[in-house]
Amino acid sequence: MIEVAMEALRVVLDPSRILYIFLGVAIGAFIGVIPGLGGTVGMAIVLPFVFGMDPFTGMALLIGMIAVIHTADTFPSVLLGIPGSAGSQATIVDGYPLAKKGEAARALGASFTASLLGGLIGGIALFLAIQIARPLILSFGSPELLMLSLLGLSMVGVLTGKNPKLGIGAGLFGLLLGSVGAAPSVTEYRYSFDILYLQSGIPLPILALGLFAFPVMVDLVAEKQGSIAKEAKIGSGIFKGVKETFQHKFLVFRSAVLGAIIGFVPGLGGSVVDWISYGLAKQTEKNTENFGKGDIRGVIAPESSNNAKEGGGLIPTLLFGIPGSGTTAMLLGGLTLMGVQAGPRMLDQDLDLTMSIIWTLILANIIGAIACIFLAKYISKVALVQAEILVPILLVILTIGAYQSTRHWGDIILFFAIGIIGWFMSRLGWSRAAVLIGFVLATPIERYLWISISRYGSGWLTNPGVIIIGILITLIVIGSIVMARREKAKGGPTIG
Amino acid sequence: MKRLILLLLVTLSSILVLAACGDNEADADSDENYYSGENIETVIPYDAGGGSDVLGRYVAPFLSDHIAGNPSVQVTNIPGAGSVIGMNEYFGLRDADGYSLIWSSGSTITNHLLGTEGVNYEFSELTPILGVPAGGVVFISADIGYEEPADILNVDPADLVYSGQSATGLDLVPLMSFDVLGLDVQALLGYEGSGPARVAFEQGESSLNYQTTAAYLSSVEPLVENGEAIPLYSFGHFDSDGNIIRDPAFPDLPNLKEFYEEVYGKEPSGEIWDAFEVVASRGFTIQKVLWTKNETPEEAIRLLQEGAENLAADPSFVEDGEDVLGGYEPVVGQELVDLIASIIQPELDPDIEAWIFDYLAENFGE
Repeated sequence: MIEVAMEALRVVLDPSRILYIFLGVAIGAFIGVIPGLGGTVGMAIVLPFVFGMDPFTGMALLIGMIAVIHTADTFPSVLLGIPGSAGSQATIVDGYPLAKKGEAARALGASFTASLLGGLIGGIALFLAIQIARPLILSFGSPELLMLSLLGLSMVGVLTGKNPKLGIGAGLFGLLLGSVGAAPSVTEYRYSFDILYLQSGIPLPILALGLFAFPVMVDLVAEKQGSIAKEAKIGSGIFKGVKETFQHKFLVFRSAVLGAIIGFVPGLGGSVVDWISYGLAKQTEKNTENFGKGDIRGVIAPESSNNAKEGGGLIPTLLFGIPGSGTTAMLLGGLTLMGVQAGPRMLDQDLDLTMSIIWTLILANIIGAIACIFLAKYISKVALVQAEILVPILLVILTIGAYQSTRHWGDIILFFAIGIIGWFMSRLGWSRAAVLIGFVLATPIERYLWISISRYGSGWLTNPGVIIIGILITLIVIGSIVMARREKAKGGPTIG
Repeated sequence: MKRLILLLLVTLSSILVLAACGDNEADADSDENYYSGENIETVIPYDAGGGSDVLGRYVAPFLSDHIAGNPSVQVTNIPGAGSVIGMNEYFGLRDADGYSLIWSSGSTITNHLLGTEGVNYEFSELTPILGVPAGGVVFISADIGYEEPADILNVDPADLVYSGQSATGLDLVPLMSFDVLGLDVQALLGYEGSGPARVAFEQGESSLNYQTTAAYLSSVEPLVENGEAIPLYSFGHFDSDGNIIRDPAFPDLPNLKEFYEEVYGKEPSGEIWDAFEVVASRGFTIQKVLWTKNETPEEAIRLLQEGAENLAADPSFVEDGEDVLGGYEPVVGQELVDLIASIIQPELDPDIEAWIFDYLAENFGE
């Protein structure tokens, strides 16, 4: 194994391949910075070019791109309060207040370092997991996957602070939105009103942009505060942020491991991993009264986990050909274009390719983070631009980003409709994160519940895995009730 | 000053001469035709990264090389509603000028066959350019005591659980094949894709599963070698007279008809068999087809079909694309036209159509 790994490193370090990693990193950073564009768009742009490349070079390009999207997508989250991609929403909660206080550089420094470390841990997780991946994946049947989805849903309580009832309501609303379109198990269309566009359901990027980006636009214009940073400085604390991340190394490690695990579970949806790790950080850290007002740990936790999830997500994708997200689904297509079929043979015949993917992931994370730290000084000036100038430009970019989802005019209508709902919710202090989590988990919950019951009746309830995850869920729910009481007593803020 | 003007004149005239030479060169190229310097858009009514998308992107540069005039060939994804949105958009909004083509696939055909709401396209108004076959193999778990075809009637029916995606997609074909064989199989539908459905088989959540040829070769063959899975039958292919033949990718595996004969000692017959033939031939024999509209100018259709024939004769097309093509040779020219005319384009017998509807309603509550 080690020999193959060293040989693969030599292959990856070949000057021509390093060049492609740099190219991938550059494309990924660009796509990450633009709100609304995420991994799927990046793949769609790059995929046509990999045809005819040898798999090592092609994967250097593709993995290089995927690896840094969640590093660079922090820029808009911190500087503008707009998610750069569906995986960086939780960063806003503390990152944006930091930028408003004039500490954007500190937040970015911490976030890029967390991304770097998270990506490394994700790569190592991939390396360790490929040795036991088969029994690991085969032990997650539909009942266990159902319970994991419910575990994700139970985080709603943690995220909604002192208003658990509103949070549960928002989560249910998200579940309802997630049920729009074709049912997973029978040919039944729900809430599609005979409109073909709605038959495929609401696209995730549209929901994320509408809920989180649109309200910011309205507020920026309405508040007439001039620019985002109230003090006309972005701070010089990049390396202060870097240092702080290393001070919170256990938080980084915890969040990254969590990210890799969530990424590994197929269908659980890496797009809520940031919220889940934010919620867990809030619940397990001490002195959390500043969370939501600009606590650096609120930036470190989600950023460590969203880079780590890419490593975890590649395990089922490469070894079983079952993609966990739209991005990895397209990655599979790219592999086929280069003449490689994902599957068990990635562990023997194509082990060298698998190893080179791990190295690429690690190298791209390092290159991407260093590049972002270097660029932060320049890009963060965006926070100083007057809102009257910034908002129209952003609105155009967001609308184009939304339109990229399916390139149907329905995308734009839906973006504005969900945007207005999102604005009301942000004004009323209702949790939008809960809506998103409900939305993402609606389909897997319905799918696995249906399959579990029709296959096993009620017998699955006594599976050991089901019981263990069930206990975890109970603990989290009790924990969040206790936390809500405490916060109510203190009058802490509602986040998300 | 004079010198400067002279210099300008010299430069200008040399540019003119060069430009003229350029023109002459282009004129000398007497291969000017309908597609010279033009763009062809190939619409893929599925998401980027799926099987149809991979095929479309693989074929595009070969088309560009082999169509006279070497037009550039672009791919446009218009996904949604099981290819209905893309097909409708092509049908309603694209001109019949031969500069816009579309790929259809399994669900394009099943949606049309089942008259799904919103379908606004007709295969009879399209002309095929290039066809790529597909195949599928049904396999069973080695744990439930199956060794040879006759055993299939003796295994405990409670052990027969099939994992798949949805009864209105291509899973319809294996599901109907179980009814042809008179098996009482529990259908466990709703898996996220054919990959997760196969993992469910490996976990023991199901005991029956099917995979298309490429996926079978890469992911199921190792299970067969380990003694965890046993292949039962392929769905078979159909010739242009409508007769079922062995799947060319699996010459050693019986097709469903042969498997039935081994189990029962007679040929399958009756409504369920007729319906199976209709669905299986449309779903698998020629699964992915590149079309243009019938009203496309004749010259364009001729150039496209010639281009496809050259492409099929290019040895590197089949060699490089082993995984993409699933081990099959592309079908072009008259052979393709005949196959399409006998399999996909004819009006469906209303009795069989009604039968399939009742079948779906009864078994899968649609």
